[in-house]
Parts: sequence; C-alpha cells; structure tokens
Amino acid sequence: MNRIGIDIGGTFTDVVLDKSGRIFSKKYLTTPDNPEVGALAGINKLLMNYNLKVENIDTIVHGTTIAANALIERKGAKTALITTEGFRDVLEMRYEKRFDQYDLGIELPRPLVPRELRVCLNERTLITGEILKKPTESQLKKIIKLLIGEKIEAVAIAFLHSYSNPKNEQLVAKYLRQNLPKSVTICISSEISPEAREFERFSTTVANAYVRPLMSNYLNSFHQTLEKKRFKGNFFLMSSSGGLTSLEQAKKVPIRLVESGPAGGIILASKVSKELQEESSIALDIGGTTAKVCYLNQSEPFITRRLEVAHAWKNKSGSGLPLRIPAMDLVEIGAGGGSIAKMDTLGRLAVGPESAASQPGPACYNLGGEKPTVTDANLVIGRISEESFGGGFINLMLSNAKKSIKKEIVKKLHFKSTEWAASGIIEIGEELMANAVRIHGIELGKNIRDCCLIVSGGGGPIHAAGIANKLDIRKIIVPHLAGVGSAVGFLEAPISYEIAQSISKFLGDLKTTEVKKIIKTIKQDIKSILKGASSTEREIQYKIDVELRYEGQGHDISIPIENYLESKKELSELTQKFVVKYQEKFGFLMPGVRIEIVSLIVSGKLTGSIKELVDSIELEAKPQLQKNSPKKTHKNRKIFEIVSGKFISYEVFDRETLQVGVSQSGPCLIHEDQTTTVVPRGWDVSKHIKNHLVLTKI
Amino acid sequence: MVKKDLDLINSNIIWNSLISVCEEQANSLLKAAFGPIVREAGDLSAGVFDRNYNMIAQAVTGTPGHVNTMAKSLNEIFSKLDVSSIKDGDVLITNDPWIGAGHLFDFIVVTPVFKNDQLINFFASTCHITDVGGLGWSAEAKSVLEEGTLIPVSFLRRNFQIQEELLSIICTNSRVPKEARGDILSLMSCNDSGVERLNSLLNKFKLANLDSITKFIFKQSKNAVEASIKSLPTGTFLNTLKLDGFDKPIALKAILKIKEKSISVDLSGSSPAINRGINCPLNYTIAYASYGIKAAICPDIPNNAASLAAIQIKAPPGLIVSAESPSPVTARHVVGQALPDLVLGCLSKALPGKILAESAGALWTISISGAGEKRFNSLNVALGGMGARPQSDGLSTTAFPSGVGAVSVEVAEAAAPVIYHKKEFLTNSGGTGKFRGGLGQEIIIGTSTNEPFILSAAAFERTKQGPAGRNGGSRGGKGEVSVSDGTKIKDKGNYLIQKGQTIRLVTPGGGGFGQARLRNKVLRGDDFKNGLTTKY
Repeated sequence: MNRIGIDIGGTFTDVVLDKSGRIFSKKYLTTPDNPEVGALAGINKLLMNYNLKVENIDTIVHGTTIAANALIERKGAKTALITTEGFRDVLEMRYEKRFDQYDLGIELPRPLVPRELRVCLNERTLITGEILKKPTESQLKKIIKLLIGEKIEAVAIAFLHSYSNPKNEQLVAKYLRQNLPKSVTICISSEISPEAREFERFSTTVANAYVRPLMSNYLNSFHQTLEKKRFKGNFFLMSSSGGLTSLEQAKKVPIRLVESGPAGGIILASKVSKELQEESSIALDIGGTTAKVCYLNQSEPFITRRLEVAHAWKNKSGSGLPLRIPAMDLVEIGAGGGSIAKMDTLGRLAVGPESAASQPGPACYNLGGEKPTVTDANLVIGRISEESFGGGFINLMLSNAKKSIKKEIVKKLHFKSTEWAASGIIEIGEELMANAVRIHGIELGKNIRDCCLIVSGGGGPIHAAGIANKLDIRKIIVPHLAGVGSAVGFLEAPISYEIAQSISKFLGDLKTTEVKKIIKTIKQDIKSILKGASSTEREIQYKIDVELRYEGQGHDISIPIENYLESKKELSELTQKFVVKYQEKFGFLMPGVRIEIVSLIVSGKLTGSIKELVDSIELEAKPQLQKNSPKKTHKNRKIFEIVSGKFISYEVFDRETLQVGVSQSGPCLIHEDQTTTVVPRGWDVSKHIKNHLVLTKI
Repeated sequence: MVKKDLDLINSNIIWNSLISVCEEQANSLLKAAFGPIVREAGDLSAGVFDRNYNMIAQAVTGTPGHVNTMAKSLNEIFSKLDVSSIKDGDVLITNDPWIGAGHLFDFIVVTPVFKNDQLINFFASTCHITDVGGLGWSAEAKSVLEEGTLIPVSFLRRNFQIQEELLSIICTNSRVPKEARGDILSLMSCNDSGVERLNSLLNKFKLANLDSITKFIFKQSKNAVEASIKSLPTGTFLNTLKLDGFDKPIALKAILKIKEKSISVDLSGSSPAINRGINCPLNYTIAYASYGIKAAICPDIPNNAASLAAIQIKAPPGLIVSAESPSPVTARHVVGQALPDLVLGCLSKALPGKILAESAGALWTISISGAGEKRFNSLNVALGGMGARPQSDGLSTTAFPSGVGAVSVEVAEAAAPVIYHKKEFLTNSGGTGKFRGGLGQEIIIGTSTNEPFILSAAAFERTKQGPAGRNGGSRGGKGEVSVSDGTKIKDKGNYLIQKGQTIRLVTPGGGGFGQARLRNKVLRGDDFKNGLTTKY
C-alpha cells in the first residue's frame, strides 16, 4: 500500500509519501499561479527517489489553502445573490455593530457579492415553514436575463427561514438550472448551511458559490493530470473538520475545505496523543505570524460550526467573513516568531499582532527588517544561534537583532540591558499564547493543568517549555515529522461528513417520530455522500448530537444521543443530562423554564477506512537501541534565564542521536533542521519509540 | 536593577491578564444571558475595581453607556452601604438609574473579592433586563416611579445564599419573569468566574493583592492620557446640537476647555429636564461625553479610573443632561448618545479636518408589544449611518456611539410573533462629501397575530433634521416613522397600531465629510452602480 499526503500552503507545498508503511517527506516552494503544477512536480520527484510511479499509488489525500486565499484576495467567481425581497443588504449590514469600540477608523470587509448583483425575489417563508409568497415565473425570467447579461459565473440563493422550509429555494434553483448555461454554479442556503440566523447562513452560501468554480476547476485539473499519469487509486480531500471527503463532494461544497491545513496538523496531534494515550491534550502550532490552539479530548479534537475567515482589519476578530461549517475548534492569535515588539502608547512593552512576516522579516534576517521581533529576542538570549536556524536556509545576524532591540525597546522602556529587554519580549509573547490556551480551555471547561502540550510549527518547540511553565503543564510532546505535520495528518484522517439542521422545538412539544424523521433524512444524505467516497462497501458509524438551551437563552449546550427521542424516558434522561451540564457551566438552574432543541447534528464516518492502516505505519528512522550517550555535535550554548538574571550554559544535542528510553536532563537544547527544542532546568527530555520528544517537568 | 526589569515585565503581563479576565467575565455573561438584546446585540459590560472603588480594567466587549457609568457606580453604592458589612460570598445588586446605567432596565451586580479575609477587589457587571414592570419600554411616564421597579442597593447573595425573596420581587414585577431571573443570575455567575480567574492570577504571580499593579496601571494611564491631551491645542471650544425632544425641540450645549493636562466639558447651557422619559442622569451623560472625547484623542488607552479622570464633564442639576430623581429616564440614551456628536463638534474646532462628521446617534429602540389576546414583547434596535471619517466613508447602518448591534431578523421572528417585511439600506440617505456618510435603513414590520399592537416611539430621534456634515460635507438623511394607514409618528409617545397595519422606520444617515466635488470618481461610480445614490 502506497499513499501520498499533499498540503499546498501559501509558501510551501509539503509532500509526504507512505511507502508500504515507511514515511518520506519533502518540502517544495508553492507555485501560486498553478499550484497543481508544483505539487505534481513534487510528487514525481519524491516518487522517483523511491523508485515508484504515480500508477503505484493507492491513495492521495490533498489539502489546500486555495479556497482561503481566494477569499482573502477576493479572487473568486463573479457571483450573484438571489434573496428575499426587502433583504438585499443582509451581507453588508452584518451585525450592525463595530468590532472595536474605540477605533473610529475601522473598516468592514467588502461583501463577496456587490450590491448591484444582489437581486431580490418577491417570496417569503415564515419561521413556521409556512410559505407566505411563492416566486413567480415572470420574476424568474427577468432574473435569468440579468444573470446572463452580467455573465455571472456563480449564483447563491438564500431566502429567509429557508432552513425551516427549503421549497422556495429549491424551486428557484431548479428554474435556474434549466435556464442558465451549465457552467454556472448554483448553491442554495438550505443545503449549504441549514441553520437559523440569516447573515451567517447567507455568508456561508455566498462564500461557497464564490470559491466553487475556481475550486472545482482546480480539483478537476489536478485529478485529470493524475489520471493521465495512470493514477487509479482514491483521491480524497481534507476538510476543515478533519474528515476526508470525496472529489465530487469537495467540488460541491468546497467552502468546507477552507481550513484544511490547520486541520491536518491537529490530526497529527491527535494521532500522537493516541500513541501516548493522553487523556486530554492541547495542540499548539506556532508559526511566523500566528499561533493556533486546539483542545483534544481522549485524542479527539473539539469541533465547532462557527468560524471567521479573511479578516479585513488588523487581523481582528469580527472583521472577517463568518462561516457556519464544521471545523476544528481552534483559536488563532496574532503572536508568532515574526511578531513585532514595540512600546505602545501607554509606554508598555507590546508584542504583535503586526508581523514582520518573511518580507522584510525579523531584523536578524538582514533582509531590511528593522523592527525587533520574537525571533530576534530568541537569538539575543541564545535560544537560537546565528548558524543553526532553519537548516542553514538563512544566516542570522545577532548584531542586527541586538541593534533593533536596543533602539526600540531598551532605550524607550529604560531596560537595564538588551538581554532583559529580549526576555521581556519573549515573556510577553509567551504570555499571549498561554493566555489564548487558558481562555479557550476555560470556555471548553477543561482543566488545563491536566493536559499535555503537543507543539508544532517552527516556534512550537522553542516556546513550549516557557508556555507550559506559565500554564502549570507538566508534559510536552514534540512530534516526529512536525515540520510537515499537516500532510502527515492527512494520511490519518477518517472519511466523514457532518450535517447540522436547525429545528427549534420545545422538548415537551416533540412528536414521537419527529426527531427520527429528521435524523433518518440526514443519515440518508450522509450515506449518499460517503458512498461516493469509497469503492468498497463499508459500514457507516453515526454520531448524533442535540443542541439544547433554556427558552430564550442564546448559548446552546450540546449533548450526544443514542437514539431518536421517541419515549418519555429518553426525553427525561436528556433533560437530566442538560440540567447537570447547565449547572456545571453556569452555576445555577432555571426551574420551570422550557428546554428547547435548537439543532440536530449528525455526523457519519466510514469504519474500516484508510485509518486502519495507520497502525501499520512505521517510521523511516528506526530507533537505535544501543545505549551510547547522545552525540554532541555542537558546542554548548549560553542562554539568558529570566529567573536568575544570568546566562546559563546549555548542552546541545542532535535530535537524531537521542536514544529511545534514555532520559536527558535540562538545561539542554535538542537541535533539528527545522527547529530547536528548548529544555530548561527542571525539565527532562526523552525520545518515544515513535520518535516523538517527550518533555516532562521534574 | 534586575528586580526592576522583572517587575516591569510582570506588570505588563498582569495588566493584560486583568483585561482578559474582564473579557472572559463579559463573554461568560454573553453566553449565559437570556435577553436577545444582551446575547445577540451585546448590551452589557464587565470590569474589575480596587478596594477604593476605582475601576482598574474593563472588558473591551460591551457598550460605553454601561462601561463608563459602571466606572463610577461603586462610589455611589458604598456611599449608601457600609463596606465593612460586606463578607465573602455576598453579592450586591441595584438598578437605581442614578447609580447604574441611567435607567431601570440596567442592573449592576457587584461581587467583592476576599483573600486571606481581606477585601482586595470588586468585580462588577451590567446588562439590560428586558422588562422591570411599570410602563415598560416607553417615554410616556411622568416620573421614574411609573417606569418600573427600582431596587435600591441590596444583597442578591448573602453568605453564599441567593436571596430568593429579592429575586422574586424583581421577577414578580417583570413581564418576562423567567428571563429576568436568568439574566440577573447570569450577572452573578459571570462575576464569580471573574473572581476565580483573579485568584488564580494572584496565586500564579504570588501576589497578596493587586495594589502595586493598580498603582502601575493608574500611573501609566494617567501619563498616557496627559501626553495625548498635551499634543492638543489649548483653548475653549463651543458647540450646540438640536434634538427633536419628546414633542418639542431640546438644545444641548457644550463648552469644552482643553487645558495643559486635562479636558473639561461644561454642559450648563443645555435645556432643562422635562416630564417625559428622555431625561439623562449625569452619570450616563458623563459616560458618553467622555467616550466621545476619548475615542477621538486616545483610543488605544484602556478605560480605567485614571484614564477617565483627566476628562471632566459637569452640568448643574436639573438639566436634561443631569436630570434628578424622580425625573423619568427610560429613553435616556436619546440624549446620552447624542453627546459624542456634541463634544466631537467642539473637538473639530480644535482639530480641524481630523474629526468625523455627525452620526445617526441614539439607537432606535424598536419596542412592539401585543395589545390583543396574545401578549408579547419584541425588542430590537434599528441602526442608522455613522458619520463620514476624515479618511473614509462612514459605516452604513452601524451603531455609533453605542456598541449594541441589531438582533437578526430570523432570531427576532423566533422570539416574538413579528414579521419583518423589509430591512434594507435607504438610497441617498448618506450625507454627500469627499467621503460619504454611512447609509440609514428602511425597516417595515408587522405582526402575525392579526391583532392591534403598541409601538413605543420613545427613541426615534433626528426626525426633524439629519446629522450634520463636516468640512463642507452635507447632512445625512433625517429619520422618519409612519404607519401603513397613513398615520405619522410625530412625538416619542406610545402608539396603538390597528390590526393588519405595518410600521415603517427610516433611520438617519451619517453626515458627509469634505466637499462632494472632491469625491473620488471610482467611489462615486460604485455608489451609483450599487444604488446607494441615484446621482452620479
């Protein structure tokens, strides 16, 4: 069995080959104009190295940021929105509030469909599902004329309350399909996101229509090129929620692929967490511009249905496009290696969210950047060295880092020395990340101290111990192959699909077969979607959650159910579970207030999917079993420690030379091409049988 | 010196952590709350105080009317209650308009923090409760006593026991008793989560209290605000603003003095209080007037006692901006939220070309209640346009100065038997200029009950004249309210709407900035193409 995972990011394309259980990987530069070209060239090169051809590959799993970039750069299709008369501006009015109370200059994102292409139809469905007005043919004719005249490439149809009755949307979609050229994409909101709250539903539907022509062309072209090379295996796409989806489904709802990159990284963390049997863990990825946090419970990541992409104003939450699709519940913060440190208007030391990115880069890159960054601070205190950064890609200049910190921080904030100022930058940067972990953990009701921290990204291993100390976390894992983590993760993902349906009924008013009927319909939909993804007959494993709340409350509590709520007993059990969870979360109860079902979420995954093969994967680097001490190929490095206010000598080891089962005490540094793991005093490090580094606090 | 550097780093970290503690407190309220106006629209605030009742930090989430009034509330509360009677496990509550956020709907809940038996801090939070009895959402009351139930400073929890009797008084007097109970307990619960987080913060940094950090925060904030003020030209700047009033116009007048290190605003030339519920207590006046100044001159400096202290707002008692009990105050935001435009007008004279044009101002509260067999209350807000900025167009249908957004149509229709027939930008409503004012909107609403209903027109303001432009920009469109049977809504009273009729609201657009002939051709073309204007 040979498989390939391929992750196309903004800068790099990562290709991972699983050759009968052995893993090989390679990084290539992304070719932004035709990403599939660079990707295929990469695949070919890697295969050639290991005497394989495309026709020998059984499965290819692909994730890409193309959809996300199209949204950020507004490079999608020319899209029209057909909506309920009187509600033309839902997309542009948004929440009608400012996401920043004090910044009077804020801008809101430009809607994906300009007002002139938002067309109204005289139709109306009520919240009960009753149809007040049905669209007429004469209106539809006019719309067809306009859409053709404007050379529209994609149409989103989104009506008020269509989640409670999709008939009007379906009717319009049918008419459009019959009367528009085949090449025009048509999406309806009751299918893309059948949930209440018009802005979010419209936004999701429009975003899907907007990226669909581009994505389906791209995916088709990718697949056809593979077929030309006699690829006969399965071609899967990675979705934002960590499940794999078929080519057909991906072309239909490409918006669900928008966060596939981060999802891959989290799946790797999930795999590692399983291998080490961690009860609960935190996946933390620290890149150049941002850090991302996701919690795992019993190795399963938390999933959400709310996310916001393509922020339009200073990376601020509230300034982007809301999407309601299943996605990993991750929090992103503007703190990474390239985050700029400065004195703010209050005379305080502040880090981020502005980033020096890769151009001009941190001051130490010597590429013209003059502002001090977290990376500069790491260099000044000795955690990274001039020569050993990024596998020799870039030669760092310590003198530049020092100069910038001296000028912007030491002088302005009256620090005693550059080292202290640099430590300050790092402390504040790490505190920002720790705080994001803390807040998200509290939101999810997690006991953070009991979690293990699984880090990835260039900055993860450098800052892990500092962050863990702040959070009282006692165990850190630096996974094997973290550098190409997303693509490795792709190979671990299950084939799955999730559908959420708003229903809004009081528990007391439920008719016996009501829930059953809805779930059965959703299951049927999921079945036909998953069937298309597998050539062999496999069983589908379903999971059903109900979202409940007290009448009138805004926040829902999600509770899994086993069956269809047909008996009084099931209902009272559900009520009991809700009450317990509610009390836990809010500390009080609301006796006498009715409980309302807000929505049903059904997810299905294929059992016996490619995930089964995971266990057979062994790693390229077989752990050596001889009991030699690790090789020291580097001389000791001096690192400034904030606790003592002094430089302390750290031993430096190569990651490859560490041996399984032999524990090494800090202070030391574990060096590898992509990054360095910092093991401070008070921590031990050892290598797991699967090549992961495990840091434990003594 | 080592000690000093470490302190500097830690002080920064703890300050940010404190703000994030409050943020979390606010978010937990947002999630737990029942009233749509809180949970969907964000009508709330949260903050932490020192033991001398000075606000140290507050959540960024929330709305200025709550946030900045709360900053002063603790002083008032403990002028009425001996602080030494407070023990761990106690929680205080009041909706006194002259202590809290200016009307009976807003409850403030205060929770003391004890460490080693010492009172070290307080947490406070405020949110809007949908109904507190009386006339409900209406400006018709002649005194605050008719407006609902006033709970003087009381114990909501005593020695860890929730005071059910008090809760029962509030709930019994509310038209939505369960929602009221839920929201008040949510306030208590969000403060508790703040206390818990503060304790772990203190433990982490091995601190007995926040005293030294508080000192640091106040010192840095004071210096920063003073530095901002220092960069302004000194002098005295006047501005007046005319509002519709309840049924006859009222005038707001400000004399703003920029001194070396402080700014003072004297509102003494404003109209006297009236016997209808659009009067504004001084605490709410101070909140919005200082918000306007602060947003214009030092938006980056977090709100706290020290950063607010450099801006002083005063008015002799008894004016519409400084109404005394028992003046009715339900729709106090009609006046309060006009104050940023008033003081920004003064500042535009000090800083010509740098201050945005006038905005729609007060939130238009849409309060509809059933007057037939089926009883219901529907509360939402209608937003107008923000004034054009010196560098960009004004935001269309976006709350300013308030931070409260609209409840979505699908949610509003789920919460009450109302039907929205239209909610769309109103063409030509933004003031023209080099930068266009934000657009207002047209909203048409009816009910599905086929019964008469009552509309409160309490907050429909700027229907006589639209918001003024700046630097040669023109006025934004004025507001308008009518009933489908042809009735015009002329004052801020309650209107009985016959069955089958709909109401039509047009919110004001923002004023324009700079001369229209200087407008960029591309922007002008886009506006025309998109039907935002009908004139190229």
